[in-house]
Amino acid sequence: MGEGRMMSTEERIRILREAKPNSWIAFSNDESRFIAYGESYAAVVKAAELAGENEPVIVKTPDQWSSRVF
Amino acid sequence: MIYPYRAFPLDQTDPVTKLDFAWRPALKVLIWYNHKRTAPIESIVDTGADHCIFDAELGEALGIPVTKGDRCQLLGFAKGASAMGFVHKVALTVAAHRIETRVVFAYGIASTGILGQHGFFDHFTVTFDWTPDPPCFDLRRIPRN
Repeated sequence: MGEGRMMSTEERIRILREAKPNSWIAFSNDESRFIAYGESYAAVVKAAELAGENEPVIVKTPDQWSSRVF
Repeated sequence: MIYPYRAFPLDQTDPVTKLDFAWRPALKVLIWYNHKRTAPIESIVDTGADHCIFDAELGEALGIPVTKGDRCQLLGFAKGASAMGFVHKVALTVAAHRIETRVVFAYGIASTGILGQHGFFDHFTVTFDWTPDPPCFDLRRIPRN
């Protein structure tokens, strides 16, 4: 696979589910660890840098988690 | 290069799959503008999207005057649902390949980023494979002269 050792599916789902709607999440660059939640992109990147992760993978949460047609 | 699908939670169990999460193809993308770039942004690979679309906050973080871009109305599957996007020329780094393209920045979208036909699928051959668990997809750059 192309993107290294990732956290378990269950752990990723839990982290995404526990985030506030329309918030931002930082994972470690290899996606093995949760790093931070943030109210904005700038805030979550800053929080990741403070945690020592300079290349976090960023995900924004939607209003609701539902089946989607993108 | 082969990439695994990512799991996304669902608030309610999907009546089709009977799962409380959905598998979606996603990639990490860097967005570049005037020598600044974003952190890696998890973006959904979406064959049904005409364009690459990103949350407007990412454009603002790069110093892009988002609302000054050409306007692009975005319509979804559901009748009446729409959002206004703004077009800007950026560079994307996808799977270690750099692509210069026009993308749409939009406020209030339900995804961090979407990789669509123009700017992504016109640069890569993508093969989706639900044989393994989790599903995966193969990404190959289209050679250009």
